[in-house]
Parts: sequence; structure tokens; C-alpha cells
Amino acid sequence: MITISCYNIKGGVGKTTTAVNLAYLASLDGAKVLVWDLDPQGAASFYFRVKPKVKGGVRRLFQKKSVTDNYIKGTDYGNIDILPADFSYRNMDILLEGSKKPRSRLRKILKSLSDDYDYVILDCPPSFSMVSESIFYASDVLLIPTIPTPLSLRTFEQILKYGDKKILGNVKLLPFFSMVDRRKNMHRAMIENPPKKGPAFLKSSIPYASEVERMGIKREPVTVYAQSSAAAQSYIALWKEIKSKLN
Amino acid sequence: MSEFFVPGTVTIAEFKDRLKAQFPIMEGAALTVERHYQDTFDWRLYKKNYQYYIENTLSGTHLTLSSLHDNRQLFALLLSSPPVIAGDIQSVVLRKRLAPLLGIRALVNKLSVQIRRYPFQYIDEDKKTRAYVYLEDYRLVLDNGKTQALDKRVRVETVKGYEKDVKQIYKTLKTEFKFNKVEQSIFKTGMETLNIHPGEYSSQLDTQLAPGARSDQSLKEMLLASLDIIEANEDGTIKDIDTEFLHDFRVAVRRTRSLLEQIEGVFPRRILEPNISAFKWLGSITGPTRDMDVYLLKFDKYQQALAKDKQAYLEPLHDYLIKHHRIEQKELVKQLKTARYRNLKKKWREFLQTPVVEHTRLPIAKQSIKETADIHIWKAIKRVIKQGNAITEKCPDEKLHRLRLSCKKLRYLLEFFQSLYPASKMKRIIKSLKQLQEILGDFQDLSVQIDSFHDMEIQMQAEGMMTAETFVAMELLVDHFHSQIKSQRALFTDSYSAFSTKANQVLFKKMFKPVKDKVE
Ligand SMILES: Nc1ncnc2c1ncn2[C@@H]1O[C@H](COP(=O)(O)OP(=O)(O)O)[C@@H](O)[C@H]1O
Ligand SMILES: [Mg+2]
Repeated sequence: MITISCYNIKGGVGKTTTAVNLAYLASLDGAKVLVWDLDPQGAASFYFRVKPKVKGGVRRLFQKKSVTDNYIKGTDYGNIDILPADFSYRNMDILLEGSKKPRSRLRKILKSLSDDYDYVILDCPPSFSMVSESIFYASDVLLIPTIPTPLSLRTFEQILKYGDKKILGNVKLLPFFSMVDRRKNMHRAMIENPPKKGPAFLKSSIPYASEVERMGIKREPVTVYAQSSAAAQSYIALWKEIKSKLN
Repeated sequence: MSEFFVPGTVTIAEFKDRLKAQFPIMEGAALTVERHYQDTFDWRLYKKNYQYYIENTLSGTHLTLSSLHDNRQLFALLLSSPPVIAGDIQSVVLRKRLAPLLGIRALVNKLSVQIRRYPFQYIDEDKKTRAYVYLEDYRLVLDNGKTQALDKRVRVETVKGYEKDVKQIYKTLKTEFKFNKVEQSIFKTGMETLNIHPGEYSSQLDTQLAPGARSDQSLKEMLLASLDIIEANEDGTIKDIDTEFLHDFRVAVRRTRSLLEQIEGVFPRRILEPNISAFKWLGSITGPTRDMDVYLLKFDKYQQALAKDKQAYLEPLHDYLIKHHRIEQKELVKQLKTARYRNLKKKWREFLQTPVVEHTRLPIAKQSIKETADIHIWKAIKRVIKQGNAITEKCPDEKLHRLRLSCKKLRYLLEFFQSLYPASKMKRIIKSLKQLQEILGDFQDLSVQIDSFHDMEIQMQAEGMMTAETFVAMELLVDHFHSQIKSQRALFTDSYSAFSTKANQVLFKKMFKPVKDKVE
């Protein structure tokens, strides 16, 4: 089982969109995929048309040693299941802070699923907290969607700083440019000269495209309803590149 | 997942209307699909209580693994193409499930059904599918390509986490529609209709012998069972479905030959001699392909024995093996299609099926099979012990080689005559012999590999398939084989001691020593 987390401290950078689309592309490879919607906002759950509700909330989920079928829901795509968001996830931080081994909590829960899924994709809330630390510890890969603006790059550098503090552990960092608008000079300049410090940005980037926005109406991965669009194709390329970095 | 019988009187339109009246339903386009129930040739999935099927549709290959006895779905996955062997499976999750069941065997079609499917989705207010309801008309696909009506069923597929919704559908189908639930899977129904007995094939000889029966009669039965195994594996060998067909084919050939060579005085010489050479010939024409199979099966291990940075150097060897496997396989198929092979089988079967005659001058023919078995097993055991005891740390390899052959002879006898002795004791003896054989076999394989690697190096050079790097990698492997040979010899002592313990020797004597010998 490979755990991939879509993470950024910032919101609105394309984490959820990426999580949903990559889950779908992974499923097309004949892999069994679980999406865990960790954001109490429940956007990933929404895209998969699943109610953002976990029976008993995060407290019950954390009490169990393993995630049972009660929590997991099958989506409309046979190979993809989802562990939905829940409003109570906003208390996850407090709950973790109060528990014995907060860092390994998520990892432990995911371990109980390792025989059931080829990929687990975590859609993370935009924050830096104990939850994020637990996410880093549970993940093999941290996918970091980054909008090519100076402000976004600052947050990227912030993430790298945690790396110095050993909080990132062994997780592989894969930043990539997201919501790229080639008409904007600043975007173009950033992409042509990505930051030299830290892990290299992936070659694939995701353009800013109205087809992607339509996901909110369609409630489907963009590859399903606009397969030949540039956005869908760029997700396909991104997934291919990520896979090449996995082994 | 549950299935319900649909009475013949219910029409599709009627079912559709009634279903839609009860539930929020989205209707899909009707389609015809073929479903292939698959298993390994020797029914490994069936024997572990599984059924497995694939359906190829426009979106890919839908694969379903379910429990045989209650038809419950255990695992489903959508793949881009159907897997043939476990190694083909990309999904680690699925591979981990299937690999231990399939081993190195390939999946082959066992039964095909054609399905006319009317799909319905039970959806909620978010247009999320909470259950699938399929009205399905099943037809059995016959060998001649025609189909035969089987069943009309409603199949309800659960979506994980929405079990409650499915229960409601079940209830309605039962109480409102008055449909009866069926437990028996289409697979079982189809098998029964076609009169196929799943699980029947086994590469083991399981013929039950009567201890008092005449030797010639009993041997004919056993040899006939061996011939059946040879013929059962012929098609898979020719089509090269997986390596086990040829393997089982060869084991049955060698077993036959070994028996004919060991047991004298039961069949006339004019039968024995030509058949011994016929089976020898069969062994020789199947050998080269098997060798290539073995090297290919071992290839991953070869690679792993090298340092990571040198593993890729071995690829040309893989190409070479694939190329020569193809050449040898072609030659083998040619041989198996000759009149010589056909006649051999035909004549052999005729002989084995001819009833034994009352009067015979063959000295052992009418002796009880138990007595014959005792004599030969005892003789073979004594030979193994004698040769085994003579093995010392410094004795030539040749001695180990001879012991290996003696063990093989003993093994064939034990397996042939297994049914004449207490099962649990036989199992124990065969197990400890098997362990000894494995050590001796590995030892032998290593020396054979050292020689054949040298041959292949020369051959690869001649065929322009060799590179300097590959040569280095192969020589490293040869060094590796040499060092393994040393450790293998050290292992021999232990496994031989385990086989030839006092307790075992007492047991051998009790079980096999012929009565006549005991009086002496
Ligand atoms: N490549 C893109 N082009 C256009 N709009 C995008 C793109 N990626 C995301 N969006 C839109 O931006 C918003 C935020 O994206 P989202 O994936 O939810 O970000 P995050 O999860 O990081 O908060 C959503 O409305 C989404 O539809
Ligand atoms: Mg989000």
C-alpha cells in the first residue's frame, strides 16, 4: 500500500481536485484505491457524492484499532472507496494532542487497511498542526500543489523548514505547479525558474482551466467528463510522473 | 450480493415498471456480456472454495472473486486486461490474494455464460448509486459455440457502506415481487448442466489398489492412471499455457519408465523393452523445453543473487532463454504431433486395457501386488541406505548423484503403491524422503547449472547476444553456484540423518520387509 497525501498549508491550491483526479487515474490502472477525506469541509466527499459523515465521529474512529467497513463507503467507481469527512474532524487536532502517540495515530489506522488497498490518497486540510505531523508520518509521498506566485512559494519554503526539524521524516516531497495561468507573466517566470532550494518540482503541471472548475457541478473527476481536455491530459501526465517517482 | 430467481412469466417491462414504482431507479442501457469462470487447470481456486470470473466490457475487465458455497462476493476489481498468471496482476492487493492460490499456474476458462443484462442503479438524492440491480438472462456457452438457456435471475450488488439500502431491495423482491432467493451460483448450475466435475484432475496418482489383487492387473491400473495424466496435460503442454502442464507430463512419463525398469517378471519382455525406450524418448524430447522453463522460473532468483547495480546486466540472458524456449517449444510441439507419439500412446493404452489372462508363465504376474510392492520398495530402501551410509565429506560428487537417482526410484515406488499402506505413515516417510531429495536435487541442479551456464555463454556469444557485462554477471552467478554447492553438501548430512534414523529404519522394516525375508 502506498500512501499519497495532497498537502499544502494554504487552501484553494488544488489539493482536493488533485486527490480526486489522481484517485480516479490510479483506479484506471486496475488498482484498489481509498480516498480519505481528512478535511472537515468535506470537498472530496462531495465530489464522490458521499455524505460527509462518520458514525460516532473522529473520537469513535480513533478508539478503534482498525477501520471497519462501517466507515468506508464504495463510490460510483468500482475500484475507489472513500473514508468520508466528518464535521468532527475539526477536533482531530485537540484529540491528537491529548493522546499518547499522536504522531503515529493515522499511520496505525492506515496500517489496518494495508491488505485492502494499493493506494491510499489523503486529502488534507490546509493547516500546519498535529494532524499534519501525523499525516507526514503516515505518508510515503507528500504531493504539494503550488500556485506559481511568490506568496505560494513562501509557504512551500515553510514546509521545507519543517523538514529541517525532522517533522517530515522519510516522506518523499513532490511539489508541482497547480492552477497555472500561462497568460500571467509571473506564472510563466516562476515555472521557467522554479526554486532551486529543496526538492525539485515535478515536470508536469496543471493548467488553470474552466473544465476543472466544472467538477463542482459535475461531481466527477475531470477525466470522466472531459477526457481530451488539456486539464485531464495534464493530470494523466502528472500521475504518470508520480508513478515513475514511486519506485 | 444476492440473486433471485425470476419466474418465466415476468417480463422485462413489467419488472422495470414495478422496480421504478418502488425505488428511485436510474436505468442503464441493456447489454450482452460474456462471463468466463476461470480456474487453474487443476482447480486450485475451486479446491479452496472460491469461484472466480471475468467479464470483458468496454470499460475493461471486471474481475470477481467470490465464495463458492454461499456465492458471496469477496473481491472485485476493474482491470485493463484479464490476468493469466498471478505475476500479470498489477494490483498488489489482488496479487497478494491470488498468488498463494494460483502458484505458478495460469487461469484458464472453465465455463462461459452469455448474459443479456438489464442494469438498474438505485440512487439517492445526490445521484449516488447505493446498489446495483441487474435483471439477467443467462445462457450457457457450449463447446460448439451455441448457447443454451440456463436461468433468469435478478442480481443485487451491494455498495460498501450502503448495506441498509440493499436490505430494503431484498425485502421488496421477496415480499412484493414474490421472487425466491437462489443460493446456488450460476457456475455450479452450469457445471451440473454440462456434467463437468470440478476438482477432478489431480497430478497425483490416487488409484486405490487392493492388496490381494494380481500384480499385473494392479500395475496396469496404475500405469493407465499415469497415461491419463500424460494425456490430460498434453493440450496445455502444446499450447504452453503454463509450465506445470509439461512438468506433470514429464513426471508421469518418468514414473512410468521407472516402474517398467524396476519391476521384472510381470509383463513380457517384448512389451517392456519397446515401451521403456518409447518413454525414454518422451523424456528426451520434453527435456530441453523443461530446462528453459526452469531457468526462466529461476531467473528472478538469479537476478536477486547479484548486486543491485549488476542486475540489469542479466537481461540478455533472459532474452536468450525466451528465444530458446520458443525454439524448443516449437520442436516439442512438432514431436507431439508425430505419428510416433500417437502410436505410442495408442498401443500402450491398448495393452493396459487388455484384461489379464488366467494362465501366464510370467513368474510375478499373479503374485499379489502387496507382495510385489514390498519386495521392490524394500530393495530400493536398502539401496538408498547403503549408498547414503557410504557418503563422506570427501567422496566424489558422483556418489551423491547416484544416491539421488536411487531416491527417485524409491519415491516413484512409494507414490505408486501408496494406497497399499497406512496413509499417515506413508505420508511421513514420503515427506522425509522428499526433504532429502530436495537437498540432493538442489545439489544436482547447481552442478548442472554451472555446466549449462558455460554452454550458454558460448552459445550467446555465437548468437551475438552476449555483452561483456552479461558475461561478468553470469560468471558471478557461476561463482555463486560453486559456493552454494559447498553449503548444500553440508546440509546433506542433516537431512540424510533425519531420513535414516533408527526409528525410521525400524518402521521401514516393519512396513516393507517382505515376509520371505523375515523368516531368513
Ligand atoms: N486547475 C484548476 N483550474 C481551475 N480551477 C481549479 C483548478 N484546480 C482547482 N480549481 C478550483 O479551485 C478551487 C479550489 O480547489 P481545491 O482543489 O478545492 O483546493 P484545496 O483543496 O487546496 O483547497 C475549487 O473551486 C476548484 O474547482
Ligand atoms: Mg480541499
